[in-house]
Amino acid sequence: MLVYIAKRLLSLIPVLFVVTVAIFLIIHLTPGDPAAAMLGIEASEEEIRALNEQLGLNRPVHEQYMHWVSGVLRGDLGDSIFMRQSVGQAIVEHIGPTLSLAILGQAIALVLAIPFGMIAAYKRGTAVDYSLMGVSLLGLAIPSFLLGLFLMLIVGVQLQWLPVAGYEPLSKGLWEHLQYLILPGLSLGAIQAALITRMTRSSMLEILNLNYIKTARSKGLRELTVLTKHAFRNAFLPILTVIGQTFGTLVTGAVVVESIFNIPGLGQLILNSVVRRDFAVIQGVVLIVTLIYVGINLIVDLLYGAVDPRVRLDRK
Amino acid sequence: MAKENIIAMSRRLKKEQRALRFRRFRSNYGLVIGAVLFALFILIAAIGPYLMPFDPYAMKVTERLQPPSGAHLLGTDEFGRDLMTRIVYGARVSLSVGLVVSLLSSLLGLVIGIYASYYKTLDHILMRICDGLIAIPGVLLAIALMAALGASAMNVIIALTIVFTPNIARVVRSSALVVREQTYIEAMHAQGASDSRILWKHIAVNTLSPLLVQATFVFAEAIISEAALSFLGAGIPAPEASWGNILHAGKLVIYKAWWMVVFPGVFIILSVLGLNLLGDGLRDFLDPRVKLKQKKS
Amino acid sequence: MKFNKISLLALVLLLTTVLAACSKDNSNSGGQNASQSPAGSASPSQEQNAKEYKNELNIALTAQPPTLDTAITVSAVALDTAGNIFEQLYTLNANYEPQPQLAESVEISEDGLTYTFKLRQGVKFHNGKEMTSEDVVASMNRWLTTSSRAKVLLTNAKFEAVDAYTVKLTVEKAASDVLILIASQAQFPSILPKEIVESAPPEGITEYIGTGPYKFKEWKQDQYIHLVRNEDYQGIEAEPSGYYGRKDAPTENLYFHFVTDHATRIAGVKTGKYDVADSIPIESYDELAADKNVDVQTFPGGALTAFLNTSEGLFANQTIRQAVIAALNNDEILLASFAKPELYSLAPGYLSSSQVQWANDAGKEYYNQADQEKAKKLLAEAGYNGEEVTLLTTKDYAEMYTATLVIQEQLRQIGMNVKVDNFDFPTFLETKNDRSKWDLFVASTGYQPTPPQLLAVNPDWAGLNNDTVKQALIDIRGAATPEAAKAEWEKLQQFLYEFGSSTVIGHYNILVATSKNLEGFELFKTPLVWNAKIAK
Repeated sequence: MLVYIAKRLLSLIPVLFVVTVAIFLIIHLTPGDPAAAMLGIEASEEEIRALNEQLGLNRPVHEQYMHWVSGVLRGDLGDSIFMRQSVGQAIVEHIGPTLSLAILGQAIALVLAIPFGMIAAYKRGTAVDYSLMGVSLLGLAIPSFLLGLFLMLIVGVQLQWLPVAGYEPLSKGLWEHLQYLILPGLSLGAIQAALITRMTRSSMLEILNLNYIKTARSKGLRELTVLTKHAFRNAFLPILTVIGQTFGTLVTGAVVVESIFNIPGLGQLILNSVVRRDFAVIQGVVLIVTLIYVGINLIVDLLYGAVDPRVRLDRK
Repeated sequence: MAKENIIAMSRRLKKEQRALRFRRFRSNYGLVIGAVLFALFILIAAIGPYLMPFDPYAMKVTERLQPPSGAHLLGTDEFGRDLMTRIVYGARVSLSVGLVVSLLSSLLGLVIGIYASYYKTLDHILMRICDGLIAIPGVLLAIALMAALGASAMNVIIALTIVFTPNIARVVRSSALVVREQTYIEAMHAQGASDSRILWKHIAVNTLSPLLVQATFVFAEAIISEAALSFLGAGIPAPEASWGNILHAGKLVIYKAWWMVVFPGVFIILSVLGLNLLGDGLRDFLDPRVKLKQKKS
Repeated sequence: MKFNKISLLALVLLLTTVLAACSKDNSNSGGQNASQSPAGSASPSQEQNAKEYKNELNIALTAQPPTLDTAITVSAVALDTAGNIFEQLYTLNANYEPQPQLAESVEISEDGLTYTFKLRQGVKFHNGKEMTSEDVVASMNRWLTTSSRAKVLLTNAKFEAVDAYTVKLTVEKAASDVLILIASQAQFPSILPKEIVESAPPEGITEYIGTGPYKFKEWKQDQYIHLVRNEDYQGIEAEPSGYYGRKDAPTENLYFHFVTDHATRIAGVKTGKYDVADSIPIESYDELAADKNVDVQTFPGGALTAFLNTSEGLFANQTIRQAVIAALNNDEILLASFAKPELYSLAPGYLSSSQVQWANDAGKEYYNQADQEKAKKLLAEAGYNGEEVTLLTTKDYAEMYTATLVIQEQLRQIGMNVKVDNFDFPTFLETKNDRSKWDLFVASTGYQPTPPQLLAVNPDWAGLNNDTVKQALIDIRGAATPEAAKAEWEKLQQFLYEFGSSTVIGHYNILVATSKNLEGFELFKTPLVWNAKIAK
């Protein structure tokens, strides 16, 4: 197991290398002089040159890259030109809402998807099954930002049940916090729900056809017990994979949904930084989100091994 | 094995496959519905603009934000432009972006994928780059690229092609690897066929069906991504009509003009649904391992 | 898969489930909210009152200010916020007359060249230090070099300390508007501690220490600025009027939220999350006016004005500028930007029609021409050949953005190749200073007490560097009588239109929505909240 983890971590190095180079290049191909932007219109040539020197912007690109990476390795993501604070601090201030939203989105997805998937599998071939599958197909076709707009229109504007947009931190109370996150959470969770429903259904179907389920049934166990205890437990593994893969997408999907519902998370941060041309922040956020994404996938793979002893991770 | 034998066998196989395919196509409702929807949208994008009686850009501010009516079937936008005209022109923009992105990334992905499957060192380098790019969440990568490139339709295409190519390259590579291991490739190699001949005549051809399926999904993804980028204001700049742009404006007047959110939204959903059905259908259709009726269980 | 079985039923099923879930959540909310409300306890000073008041006020602004350093920014959102932290020697009352705030009095010499200010004693900065003449001199002299208006209108003026509580201002030429300038609101001279002035970096002070009724507490980037009551505030007792008078600070905490999203601002004021919502988009006027929990207040806001780049690029050519101005259909621009004809008016004057001292309609033959043929002819005359024109704008101010898109279309109609560059507000201001990056921008510019303070005549604002304009300003300010000054201004306004450096598009009212329960709030150019409180 340890060997496996070590190997996985090692294999991340080239990935992260590519990621950082890619992000770095994108930013540095961008026209514009950050030093001039920082100092404003009245800065003199010398002042700009001095700041360029201080920031190391006059050095060759590969040296700048090394400088940035060594900073990143020491936990220093650089400074935001606009916000006059470190990128790290900006990210810390904005990551809470994004995580809250992603977790709620995931929870909504699971609460909807697993029962639906199990029902669809159990009632396979019936109208219930087809309806659920149809809805899930529709769910896959509606991008989260669109669902967000529709929910905003129906639930927020027409019915006025929930706030149209905005955000309150958890410290203001659980309901205050949640009521702003329900619509965005739903819009974010819908696609995951659709995916997980389909996955649950198909892996349940596979299991339900196996002999030991038949045995369990023939023993006269209640159907619910058979479904939840025997079948679901074994169908859980592929479902877990989907959950893991999609949680990463949730964090990134949150970027778009946040901007619709005006939630001050990483998504708002990166979009604001784009219009402000605040590149250090863009760099930092993309890096952090990528790390979260890669990290979650790693954890899922490890869990996979822990849940199913048949999967021998240290092979391969 | 004698050459004649192989040919005869493959002929027989092909004949059987053709019969099977036809039956499969007929029984594959998803494929049919998807294909019809898709064709419909292509039609709208191709000839729709010529049928519209309004100029998509000309403003008539006195008629702003009118609900759907006889004069304006889908209502008007915040500048009094006919919404249906805007959406139809937007279809052209959104679908062209989708089409060009899926073509470009398929082409690039194909080249990268088959070369990677054939040359070990190249494989290592290319696949690490792909892994890295895949690890960066697509929307974020696109946003960062758009920030660097500046907002324009061409740059949306470039950014999305960069986002989607690595995925396609991976798919192509893995099916190319399967082909590569087959004995007849070994045999051709032994007979002295050139690398590029083997690559393009034999390996590439055999990756086409998964590539086609993947390209369909990329098409759908590209439509969504373009809409999302434009919606966020990082995509196609105003006053060009695109579905995402209309939604962006619609959000500002959501209290007053539901039609500006609902109609472009429905167009996006239907086009993506069509492409998803088409992709799923094609996968079932082209994959010989999927047995008839098996889906029912 | 059997997609033909996708039934409407399924969709309905999903929707009802979702809606049912929501409604349940909602009914919970009532109970939880009720149990939560006592959380904010009233401040001690308020407890005797029969009515109980909340200890915080939430104000939703449209944009995040670039800085709170009032001497360097013209950003209205910065001034809305900073006006609670900082005070001036003189300030404007509701009749636009300069009144002493931190000063006690002023004595003007016979020749009009020397102003001697007596300072109020015992005024303390938020850091506990007493305000003396050295702080005033440092602050005022800095302002003379940073304020774009002061640079032009008070060239070579100087503040000096006479004794600890007396400062002297000497100006180059006598002018009728010196006190008004010192008292004016846009880019105003806050009195700061000397140490802060001296250590201020060029991009603005970073420590916000003033003498005002509120102290700076926290700035959460992209979220809010939190101010807290200054318990040691030494104000004046006069009746509140405009920016002048008593400031009681009845509410302990002020939160200025940056809510660029209009839907959020509106929803927030409807639900009571925000007590004041600034710059309500006109789209929502009817809806908010009908809401019984919300008051909508209006105030003559200013002139929506298009500024043309006279110094660089294509628009340096006067004929092209005239073509652009000829093409503009202001009716259309205003309707798109302000939605309801009741909420705007057309007039070529740069000042409000209620400012009888200055209002006139010189230049009306250039105003609202909407003459495409003339525009095309002028373009051909100027040899325009499809060069790209850049309109600069910001989505943070909906009316500016909308107006820009309409102008883009109107210029397209006369055959110009027009691109729109959109930034957030701070970046917009910064980009505006780089004259190579834009050809035209639209801004909503507030009314000024006197013409020389208008942004339209300020060289720093849009790069209008013109000797005729400079001379005209001198003439206006040096005019012997108000009538003569008015005549000079009329001439200048006419010149601005002929020269094509800018054109008024129209006049608008600002809309501010407040909670019905809000007391002591005043809308005078900007929302004034230092006497505001809200019942629980």
